[in-house]
Amino acid sequence: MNNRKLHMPIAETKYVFIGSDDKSLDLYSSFIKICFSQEAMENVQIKKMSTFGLSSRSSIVKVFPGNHIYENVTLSDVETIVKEHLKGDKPVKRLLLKNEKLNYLKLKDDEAFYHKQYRVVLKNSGIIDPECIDDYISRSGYRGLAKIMANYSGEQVVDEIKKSGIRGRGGGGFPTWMKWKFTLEAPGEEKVVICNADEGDPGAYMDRSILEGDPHAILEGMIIAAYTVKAKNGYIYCRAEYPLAIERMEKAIAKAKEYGFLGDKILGTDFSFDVEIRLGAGAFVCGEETALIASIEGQRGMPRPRPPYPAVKGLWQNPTVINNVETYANIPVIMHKGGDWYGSIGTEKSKGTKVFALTGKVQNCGLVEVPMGTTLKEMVYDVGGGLSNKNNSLKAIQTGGPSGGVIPEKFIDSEISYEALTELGSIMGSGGMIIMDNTDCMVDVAKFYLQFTVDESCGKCAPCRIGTRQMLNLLEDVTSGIAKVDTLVRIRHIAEAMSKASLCGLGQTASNPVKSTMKHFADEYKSHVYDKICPTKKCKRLVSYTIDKEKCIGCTLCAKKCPANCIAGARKEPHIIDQSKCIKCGKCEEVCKFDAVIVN
Amino acid sequence: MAKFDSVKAFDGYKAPTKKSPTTILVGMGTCGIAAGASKVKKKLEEQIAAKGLTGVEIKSVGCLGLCFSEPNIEVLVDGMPQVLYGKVDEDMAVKIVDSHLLNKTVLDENIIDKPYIDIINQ
Repeated sequence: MNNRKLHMPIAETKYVFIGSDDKSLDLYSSFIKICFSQEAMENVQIKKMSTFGLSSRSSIVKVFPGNHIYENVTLSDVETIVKEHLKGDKPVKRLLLKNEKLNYLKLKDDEAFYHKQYRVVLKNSGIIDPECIDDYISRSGYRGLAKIMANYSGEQVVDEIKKSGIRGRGGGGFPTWMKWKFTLEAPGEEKVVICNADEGDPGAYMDRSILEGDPHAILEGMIIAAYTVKAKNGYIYCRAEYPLAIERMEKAIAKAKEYGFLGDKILGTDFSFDVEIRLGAGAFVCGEETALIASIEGQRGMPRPRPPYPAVKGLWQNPTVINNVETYANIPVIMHKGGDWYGSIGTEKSKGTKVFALTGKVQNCGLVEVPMGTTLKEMVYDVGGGLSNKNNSLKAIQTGGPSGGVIPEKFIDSEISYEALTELGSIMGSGGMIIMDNTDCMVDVAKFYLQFTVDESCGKCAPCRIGTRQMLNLLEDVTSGIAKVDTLVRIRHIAEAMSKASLCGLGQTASNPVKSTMKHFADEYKSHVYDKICPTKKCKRLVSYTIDKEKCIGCTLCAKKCPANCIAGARKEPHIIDQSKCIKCGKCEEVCKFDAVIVN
Repeated sequence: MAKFDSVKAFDGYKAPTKKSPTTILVGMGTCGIAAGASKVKKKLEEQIAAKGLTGVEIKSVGCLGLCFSEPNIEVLVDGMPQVLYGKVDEDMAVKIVDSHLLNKTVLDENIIDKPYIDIINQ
């Protein structure tokens, strides 16, 4: 077979991509029609593209070469674009996209921002081969490290980090520069740098993505930290449930050593630093810094009282910097582009960007990175493309995983920042963001998270060990319709006690979902307790399935499909469900073609 | 011996960006692989070999963050715009080779507007 070389594309071909939602379907046909009539079809390719239900711009048209982006294009604009741009080669300036003026992000003229994402941490993810160190270097990789090793002292690095304003991305939001400063100033010769890659929040996978997609960013961040505090050893504590991440990180460490960025005498200087991977065994509590340290030391992962903080007495009593994956991944670009550049993104007290795992009832579930200051509304309707079921209505947004709370729809114009989310009764957390609509039961949400924390409590302190279990029992009473008059009060008391007296963050924050849902959705709780009704019909014990005698024609389909065999009835006679055997699976309602099953 | 024995040595290093005339980026994070990206990648390799094409590099990249449309593939052909395809299956992989690579014609379906810019302007 001959080796066929790919011939060069036809010169001067123009490509038109039309952002398609219902309106734009007309745009597409309109472009084709007008291009034909203007005899412009020869070197033009017109294609439809999905813009994910973007709500802030009604239609987007992109023209290449040159990446010209038109917005809010109407049918009457099509002829202008075809004549002046496609045929005449002059973009129609007045129709081009204009970025809104944002106080949390300064954009260059050619940086289009209508999608609301700004990828700093994820700048390489999806672009480079994570196993190729040269790919990383070609995009300013390790230049931050080289810059500081040539010109900066540890104190100067701390100053630069301070300028950037970056705060811990694992959920604590503690100013990173302060943590590094404490460790730098602490007495001790064997300082340590640890990366917390345990990522235990259910539904959160931001760290996994960074580990798999751009492992060198994390390594460079750790090496910069080690240089700053004069550490000799580093550990990446990664949960064993991330085998691909571990594999890619191992390869990255080997390559970094080969190139001289890690190991003995880094880049020929006296600075030596080595990194090992340690695997977690799936305990959520080991994401807590002191429990993580205990785990590396070979002990059972249980937290200990603080102070002293790990910065002063950490791994094997040595001063230890322990930061989250996302925090480290930000460091190289901060050192390379400067703390001031990073500090120009975000709000006054929450600088930079944040990666979120946007999931739940949205169209576009995935990993997104937005600047701090973006509103929740933009997250749901622009980034998320709106609700997945347009017939439902937005109810609440849950952030922060098992330590967070729900934010009801009425606060949707709130900005995303550490302060704003805390004020609303939730937390930033590590980045889980779950969108809930009117079919979600808030009591069920609280119960779900509590089921998780009950399993994950290490058991060391009584408030958490006993409190989580008691709260879960009470919540189960609520969702089964056997709650008593004082159940809600008892839940509140336990929640208070746990948040004040638990040894670590797990126990202190385990009651947040309950507290938050009880505050904002008190009516739902009351309905469960006093009326024994679940308004969304999610809580199975409170829901009953019956058959409407008027509508049932006796086709026997439901009886055949019922997994509990609890539907009886003769052919052509109305059927009856035995309530004592019914497991509320909903199969009968699903298969009935006559709408005869009543759910209440 | 480490590759760079001084900061200066590294400063003077320009990483080889072996840019082929055609590059296909296949999202191979855990999400992509779970959705079938490995099969799609294999199909692409098969097709390219079968049609005897040269100058094509298939690269495994990390997660693009567009989890709802995995497997995601980005096609970069010299002289053509970068195109991002979503929900790519093996049939589409064949079409990409035939239509996009050989015929220099972008496909009519599954094109996604990448929802972010590259902050590193190359």
